Order: sequence, then structure tokens, then C-alpha cells
Amino acid sequence: MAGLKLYTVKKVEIITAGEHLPFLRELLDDVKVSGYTIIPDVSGKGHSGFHEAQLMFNDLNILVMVITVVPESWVETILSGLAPLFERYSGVVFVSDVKVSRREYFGETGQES
Amino acid sequence: MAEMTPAVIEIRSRIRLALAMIPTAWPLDGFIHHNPLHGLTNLHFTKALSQGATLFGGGVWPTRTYLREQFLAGLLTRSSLRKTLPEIAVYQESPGEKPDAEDLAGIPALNLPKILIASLLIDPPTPVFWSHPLEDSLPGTGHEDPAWNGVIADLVRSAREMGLSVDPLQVRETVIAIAEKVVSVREQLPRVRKPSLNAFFPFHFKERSHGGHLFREDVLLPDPLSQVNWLISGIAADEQAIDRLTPTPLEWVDRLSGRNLLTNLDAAMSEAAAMFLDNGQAFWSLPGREEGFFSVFRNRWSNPVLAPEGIACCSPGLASLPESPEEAMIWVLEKMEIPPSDWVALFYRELSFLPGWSGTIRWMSESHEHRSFPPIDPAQWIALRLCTEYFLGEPVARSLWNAPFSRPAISSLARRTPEETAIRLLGVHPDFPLSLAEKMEKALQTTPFSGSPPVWEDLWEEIQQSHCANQSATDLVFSLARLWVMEENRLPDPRSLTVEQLSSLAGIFSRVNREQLPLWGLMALEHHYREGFLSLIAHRPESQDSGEKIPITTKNQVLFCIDVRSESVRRYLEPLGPYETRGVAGFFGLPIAFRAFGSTTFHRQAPPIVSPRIFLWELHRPFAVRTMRHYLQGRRIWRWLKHLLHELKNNVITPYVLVEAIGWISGFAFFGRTFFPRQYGETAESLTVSFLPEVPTMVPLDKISEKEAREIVEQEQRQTIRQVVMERYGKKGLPPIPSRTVEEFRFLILSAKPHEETPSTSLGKLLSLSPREEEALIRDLREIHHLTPRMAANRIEELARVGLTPNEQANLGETVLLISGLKQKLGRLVLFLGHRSRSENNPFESALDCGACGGRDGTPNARVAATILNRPLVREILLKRGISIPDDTFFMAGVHETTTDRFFFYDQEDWPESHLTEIGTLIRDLRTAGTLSAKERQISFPGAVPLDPKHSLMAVTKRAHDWAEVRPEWGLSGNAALVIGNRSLTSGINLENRVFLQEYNHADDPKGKWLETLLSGPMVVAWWINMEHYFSSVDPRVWGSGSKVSHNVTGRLGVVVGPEGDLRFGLPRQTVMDKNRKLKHTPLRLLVLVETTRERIESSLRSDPHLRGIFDQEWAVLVIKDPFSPEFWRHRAGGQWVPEACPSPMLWTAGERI
Repeated sequence: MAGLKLYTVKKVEIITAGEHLPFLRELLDDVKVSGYTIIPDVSGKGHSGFHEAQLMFNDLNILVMVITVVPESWVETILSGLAPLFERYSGVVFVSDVKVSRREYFGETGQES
Repeated sequence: MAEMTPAVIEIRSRIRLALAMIPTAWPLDGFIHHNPLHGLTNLHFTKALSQGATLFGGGVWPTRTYLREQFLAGLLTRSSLRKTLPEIAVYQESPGEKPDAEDLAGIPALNLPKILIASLLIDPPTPVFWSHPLEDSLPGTGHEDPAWNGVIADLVRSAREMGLSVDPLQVRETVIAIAEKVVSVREQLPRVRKPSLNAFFPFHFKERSHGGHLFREDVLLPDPLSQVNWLISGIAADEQAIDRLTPTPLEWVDRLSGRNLLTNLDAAMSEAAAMFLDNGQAFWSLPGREEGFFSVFRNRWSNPVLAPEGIACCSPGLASLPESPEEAMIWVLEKMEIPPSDWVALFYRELSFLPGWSGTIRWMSESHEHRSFPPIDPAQWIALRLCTEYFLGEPVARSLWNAPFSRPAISSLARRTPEETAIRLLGVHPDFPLSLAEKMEKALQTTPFSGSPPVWEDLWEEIQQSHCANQSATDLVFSLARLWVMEENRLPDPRSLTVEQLSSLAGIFSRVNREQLPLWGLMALEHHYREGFLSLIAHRPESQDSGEKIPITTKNQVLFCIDVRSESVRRYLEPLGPYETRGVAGFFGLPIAFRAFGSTTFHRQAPPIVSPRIFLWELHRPFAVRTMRHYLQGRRIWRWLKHLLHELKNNVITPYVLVEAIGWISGFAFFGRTFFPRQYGETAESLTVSFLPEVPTMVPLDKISEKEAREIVEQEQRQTIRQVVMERYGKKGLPPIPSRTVEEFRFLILSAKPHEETPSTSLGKLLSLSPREEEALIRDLREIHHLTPRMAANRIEELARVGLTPNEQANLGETVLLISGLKQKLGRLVLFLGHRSRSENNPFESALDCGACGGRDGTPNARVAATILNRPLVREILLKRGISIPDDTFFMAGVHETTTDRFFFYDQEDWPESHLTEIGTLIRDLRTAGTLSAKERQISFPGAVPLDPKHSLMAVTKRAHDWAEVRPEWGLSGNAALVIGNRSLTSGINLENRVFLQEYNHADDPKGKWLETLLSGPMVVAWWINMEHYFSSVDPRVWGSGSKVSHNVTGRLGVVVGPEGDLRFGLPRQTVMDKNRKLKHTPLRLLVLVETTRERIESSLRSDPHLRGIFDQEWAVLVIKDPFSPEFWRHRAGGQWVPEACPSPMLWTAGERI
């Protein structure tokens, strides 16, 4: 990675039920994130017990994980859209620092972060 | 669009959450059966029904009339009612009471079930209000209240509906005797707490209260302030509910001022939605739709001339709003002083006023199949509604009360004069005694809150006294009258009852939890069906345990959809030859998006809970060049004729001439369709085929290269240019256009740099276009027909998704074999049989198609399944994975037309000669089975007489072609159960086309993963279908789409009843009722029977909380059949399992006669 300059941006990871995937996609589109990754069929244990994955013919009852990387200033906007969802449905959101080399790919306009 | 600030993002999120609780309304061409209370399925069934009724104002339980019909028919029995009684809290025992006594209150042979059955089945329920004091209105006296005549008539009618022979005079005598007796001893009777009075009809005011009831008249609180506070603080579905439903500010104003502003608002919003969302039905579409819904109507309604009459007063206010819908909404919400925590509940209430249009907007916001639609998002829909609502309510609040139009201001106003508020909310109740009603009407005509509190206090006092919750004697008279009529003089003369006996009876009646009675009736109906169904299975002839290994390798296999309509065909086919039939979800495990031959769009061919992952299309076969040429020629002429007719019909002048000139041609069609529908339909079909020949087609599976994709796109662009030129300049005598000329024009249009100079192309010269005309043509091709480099790139990307790699094909082949349970049991011939329906003049045709294929024809999935598994390359890959398909196994594809019980077969070019004899035999046997099935179905239609098989087939075919037929088939009406198990469980039993049959072998699924898949997939789809039918049956007016007779298709999206209004979701009345409005569909919750062990199903339920919720919250009933013993176990809420008794069918039938 020598020669590459890295910039710190935020990674937002959201895990919730598949039926809320349209909600998440519309939210992220509203915020105009430059892209996101959807990982369907996530399994694991949480407040409501263990959740199995791999329902072959049901996209609503599975757990999905959506990952996006955005400038730090966007995080609050995303969280203000997520808060109403998590007021009533289960799910988690993680926000962490990550480093990227081409920050313009992730919505940064070029100001130092 | 507004800048996406955190506030804007938050409001958009809250709108989405509210919208997610509204049922999606899919368009008519892809009708999806769904649960109209889908947004409430996290609640217990009864709570959700109560909440749904409050919100949408619909009946949610089978009516008492229906229960009486079922009682008379022997389908609701005393035995079932008794057996289900312990499972439900219909009766609240008092300490030391013996509710199972057989001589309650010291009256011989009187027991609790008899009392409860009378309360459940005999009309009338105790009215909410009655003349006070009771002795001033006694029947049989000179001052008898005329309402007693209605009471006695209801008692007689309901008793007769149950088959009881009652004499009206005798009933009258009994009522008089009861009333006199009760009044004579009323002072000595204990005052009992009266629970809810009107459980069956809690929604008297659904029309007036606009969508849902606001005022639970049956629990009138003595203190008016408590009553008002109860409404202000809102109604919660349960103690954990986040949202409390409260009336919107405009609802308050409407009720308090006696106006009808909400109706005006709804009418305006419906009209706006119909204009804006029109998908090509209107000849002139609304101009400026690209600006967005909010913007178009904010501007339009800002002009009082263009605004609908009822909302013209809002024009100045709307004109002053910000341009962004979100900012406008935030401004209005601030004015109304509604905090963000209440927004979801408010939006939910707002959306629920027009659930049809709101559901359509939900579909649009989630679907990707509507690119041609104008831009609308839910925020714009709600913003326009809220803003208009504000400008409707604000002047009224200001002029009447000098108060702002805000929630706190209205609440404070209401609290200041609670009597008046409570009375104005209640309105004139239909049960009011005459004198009270007259006083109320007079009082309500005064200006609200204009003084004279004593008038309202006196009125409130009178209402309280007339309310039957405060008249235990009146309720006792009604309860005793129902009981005495039900028991047909088997009880002693009421005059002989002692005070102790009456006191005891009054106590018993007061402990009946009447809100639970409808659920009890439903559970008893379900119990009766379940007992009969399980008995048939437990005592089926040639009882076979699934553990037995039956040599079936020599049998040919026919795979049907699990749809209930395949059951009769399977039953008739199996004895005809060496056939094994299997039930599989009709998309055969292939979630595809399919573009049919001649179509330009991909359609979902998968259940609504699965997103299509595979894109495939149907193309003509390479050898069919000549047929293809004829087809294209025919299609061109056909389109031209259609276009010409359309233009002539919609021109200002030509319709006058058109009718005279060619109107007579329609006469042939009219007489043919009306008097000879079958013959006309068949002739029209053959004529169509001669004009538009059937082109042999195939479904190519392989992916196409980027080069091929580019060539396809270029060809499409050329075709578009030619088509547009033809449409515009065809009438001028268009010269032939050389390919080079088109190509030059295409390059010009797609050039990255917009054309700045005056164009001068060969095409323009050829057509003698002026520079301005040429510019306009280029602009339209770019802007209207999307001939842009960006769209071309998108299209190429779309094409790159089409097709499958060999490994993907093998994966799908494996899935198909897995879902069919055919990995090791393949015969020489395996037929995948999709299904579809056909009917004329039926907007709901797709509701009769395959639900597992997204409400579409299931043929593509059957063809793809067969094509994949016939491919040698796929078989090779599968062999490496240990799945061996015998060389002599051939997969074929067909479709079952459920309306006519005919069968059609595809890809006949691929049929191997070696199998032709067997294929011929199979086709013959399917025809026989179809004919027998048609005979069975034909007799089920209203007014049908028994016919021989041949004439039955002709009769059902006639229904399919008859344009006046409102019931081309019964569809899925009657569905009651889903069996997930081996066919051996049900083979040979007549299940009356009421049962979904999904193949499942417990022995092949040691880990239970496959069971989990079936429960989360096919079961959920069957459950949605079941719930759709349940609600459409219990109240077709609200949950269904009403009568087909008054339907008008609107915007190619849905139907409205009459000329305007909300889009109707749900099934038409004719699908669930016969012509006498008797229900054909029995409203029952889905009975899911799974052949497995308790341990395995518990493991499946544990791993999926949503699935477990369906059974724990009692939205469906789960029973398992143990594969290793004859036992059946039923799952109860909380995870208990109770054994299910299965009396032998003889005993069961005999028991019903008792």
C-alpha cells in the first residue's frame, strides 16, 4: 500500500430483517450514498434468540446486513433516518472508522477529514 | 426535492414505516393474494382484528347470520362449540361457581353452553340504548315501545334461520312474560357490572365515522371527561404498542362541527391519484406529471377554478406552501403541534383513509416493474393530504372557536366542555329512544361550544340513563328472551322463575365475555372442519404409512402446483395409469423474471416473498422464420387497426361517422359473445391464430455475450425509430426507408453531444421534414422514447443479466429436483404442469392465475424447469454432485387451464420419439381426468344442473368465454388447509378442491431444513391466500372489492366502485359468494397439517421467529401427523401440543346428525 494516501471515513453496518430492506435502500438512496453492499441470509444470536439463515423461498424473514461507507458528516443524517426504524423493530447499527484511498468514491468532496 | 437534512430524512423514514403497515395493492395484471392486515401480524389474531376494524371500519368476524346458516347446515355444531369452549375465555367464572353444572340457576337441563350458544346465535344483541325507565316501554302494555316489534321479529327470524320452528305469537308472549317478570322483581335483583354489550356490531358508525369508529359506544364511560380523554390519549392495540391511534385533527373538527370535510378531502385525493397515476388508460394524460405529484396538485389546487369544489377554499393556503413536500409537511405538523413521536401513528391513520391508493403507492415505491409510471413517492402523497387538511380545518377552527387548528388547542377545547364534546362525538345513535333522538338532533343544530352547558349536561344524563350498561334489567330481558327462544319451550314458564333464579341468571349473563363470542364461533367452525378432515386422513382407505417404501420407479410423474384446484384432477388422474402426482409450489423453485414472446417487459414469475434472481426470455425457434414473418406482419396490421380504431373513437368528429359506418361489425361480436359465448370464443380463437399464427418458441437458458447484447439493443433502437416514423408520417404515404438512413439517424440521436446545429439528415430529406420538424423528432426520440446512450448502457446491462451459466443451470436443476422430492425416484416421463386461468371481461383474471408465480400464468416456470433438466450438460454436472438422472427420463412442460380443465403442452419439438407413446397416453389420461374434474366443478356453480362429462366440459368452457360471466370459476374460494406431507396421506380422498397439497417426505429431511423452507415459503403464500379470502368473505364491502357489477377499471391499476373513489383491494363479492349472497368460501384460518415429528417442527419454529409468530399469535392452526404413529397433535399458543381426536368418518357423520 506504499504510496497510497489513506483517508478516514465512516463505515455504517446495519443488520435487520429482510422485510425492511426496501426501507434501508430507500433511506440510503435518499442520503445519496455512493453505494452499498447487501449481505442476505445473515445468521446469529441477538435479543430474540438465535436466527438461522438460508430460507430458500422467503426474502422477508431472513436477516440482512447492509454496509455503506460515507463521510463522517453524513452519519448523523443516516442515523436520523434509522432511529424511527429501531424504535419499533429489532436491528443493530454499527458505525466505525475505516480508511480508504479514493475518498471521492465514498461521497467525500475533498476536504480533509 | 428538498435538501436531505436530518429532519427531512427522519420524516421520510416515519412515512415509510407508516406505509409498511398498509397492505400493498398490486396492480390487476399481477394480483397477489395477501393479508389485508399484514402490517398487524405481530399482534395476536384477535387484537389485530380489533385494531384493523378500528382503523379501516370493517367487520372482521363471520356474522351471526352466517353462523346460523352453518348451524342449520350442520357445519357449526353444538359438539364443536362445547369442545372449543375450554380453549377460550368466553365466560369468566365467579369464585365457587360450577359452570359445568347441568341445572344452572336451578333450572333442569340448563347448562352454560346453552346460555352461550343462545348469546352467540340468536338475534338481536342487546341494543346499546333503550327507553328509560324500562317499565314505561314494556311490551304488551298500552305504552309499549314500538321497537319491541323489531326485537320480536329479530328473535323469530334468527330462530327460523337456525331451523327452529317458532311461532311469532308465542315468542311475543314469552318476551312479555320475561319483561313483566324482570320488571316486577327488578328492585330485588343485584346490580351487576355489564361488560361490553355490542360485540358483534361495534362499528355502527363506520360510514359516518369515516373509515373507522372513534367512539366505542358500548363502553360508554359515566364521566364525559374520561370519555373524551380516552379518545384524546388514543387507542392502543395492546399494552406494548408504540403507537396509539388517535383521530386526526380534521376528524375532530368534522365531528365537533358536524361538517363533512374529510369526505371532501378523500374525494379530492382520490381524483388526484386517479389522474396522476393513470397508466395509459386515459386518452389525455395529466400534463406536467414529471414535476411530481405534490408539485402538480399544489399548483393546480392553488387555483380555485381548478381545485375540486370541496377544497377550493384551500387554494390561497396551498399557494403559500414551500415547494418541497417534506418542508411543507414539517411546517404543517409544527402548526398542528404534533410531535415527531406521534408522526407514524398520524401518517398511518391518514393513509388508512384511502388504503387502496395508499397501497398502490406502496407497491410503486417498492416495485421495479413500473418504470413507465410518473414519479410519486409516499412523502408527496401524504404531504398533499396533510397540507390540504390543514387549510380545510384551520378556517373552521378559527371561525367557530377562535382557536388554532392544532391538536393541543382542539384537545383543550374538548376538555373544557366534555359533555358537549362527548355528545357531538357520539351523534344520534340508531338505538336511541325516539324522544332522546329528537332532543339530540335539536341540540346538535346549535353552534358548537356556544354556551348553554346545562342543556348538554341534562342530555348527557339522559344518555347515560338510556345506555344499557346502566340498565341491567333491560339486558337481562334480552338475554333471557334469546335463551328461551333458542331452547324452544324446553325451559319453564318465565313467570314461574324465582328471584334467586333470576339473580343467578343475571350473574351468569354478566360474566359472559361477549367480545370473545365471535372468536368462539370461528373456532367451532374450524374445529368441525378439522375433525372431519383429520378423520378422513386417519381412516383413509388402504391406509399407508409414509415410512413404507412403495416401488414407484416405474411410474411417470406429474408435478402439479400446490394450488387447491389441482386436487380433483390429481384424484382422477392417479387411478387412470401408472402415475404418481406430486404437489409443488407452482414456480417450481425458480424465481424468474420472464419476458414473454412479443412482450417488451420482464414480469415476476415468483411468489411475492421472493425476489426474482434469474432473467429469462422467450424467443422464436430458429427454424420458424416464415411463421415469424407472418406473425410480425399480422401483428403490424393488428396494431395499426387498433391504433386507427382508437384514434377514430377518440376524435372529436369521427365517432359520429364511425358508429354508422362500422358499428354493425361490433354487432357480430356482441351477439356472438352474448348468445353463443363458447362457439364465438372458439371461432375468435381460430381466427386470431390464422391472423397471428402461433410461433414455435423456446426459452434459451444460456447467457448472451456483450456483443450479442449490443446488437439486440441496436436492433431495438432501429425498430423504435422506424415505428415512431411510421406512426407520425405513415399517413403521408411513407416511402421505404433504407437501413443506412435509419442508421445515420440513430447515430445522430445517440451522439454524446446534443445536436446544436440545424439537422439535415437523409431521413429528414426522405420525409421532406422541415428543420424544426426534424429537431422535434430527434428530441422526442431522446426524451419520450429514451434513445440515449445512458439508456442503451442500462439496457445492455439488463441483457447481461439474462440467462444462466451451466453451473447456475445445474444449481437450479438441483433445486427443482429437491423441491419436487425427485432426486432418486425419477420415472421415464416427468411432466411439470403449471396452471393459468382464462376468462372474458374479467379485471380480476390474474387472481385466478398461479399465486406462486406472482399472480401469473405458470407456464414459463414449467418450461424452464423441464428445459434445464433435459440438458445433457446439466445432467453431467448433477451426476458429479451425486444426482443421477436416468438417460431415459424425459421432462416435459404443460399447463392446466383451471377455468376449463383443459391442458396445453409446450416445446413439443423437443419430445423424443422414444417417449411419444407414453406422452400420448398421458395426454389422453389428463384429458379424461380434466373432463371428470370439470363435471365435479360444474355442479358447484349457482343454478347448475348435473350434466354428463362431455357437456360439463362444454359448460365450463362456456363460462370461460362468456363476457357476462361474473364467476368464470371459483378459483381458490373454499381453501381451508395445507398438507405438507406425502401424497399417500391424502390419495384417494375427495378433498373438494379445498386443500393445498405440498409434497414432503419426513425421511428425506433428517435436519428439518427443507421443512423450514416449505413453512417459510409455500406455507406463507398459502396463508396469505387464506387470509385474503377470510377477510374478503367476512366483509366484502371493506376488505373485498365489492360487486363486480359496479366495478370500473381505473388507471389500469385497480377498480373503483362506481365512477370514483378509493381503489378497492381484495376479492370481488362474486368470488366468495353465490348469487344469493350466501358465502361460498368458509372463512376459516388456514389449517396446516405437517407430516413430521414434534421435535423436528419445534426446531423449525425455533429457528424462525416470524414463522413461530404465525402460530403463536393464532393466525393459522398447526397440526402434525406423526410419521411413525397414527397420532395427530395440535400446536397451541405458547408451545403446548394437544392430541387431536379423529373419530372414524362414520361416527363423525353420525355425530353431526345429533
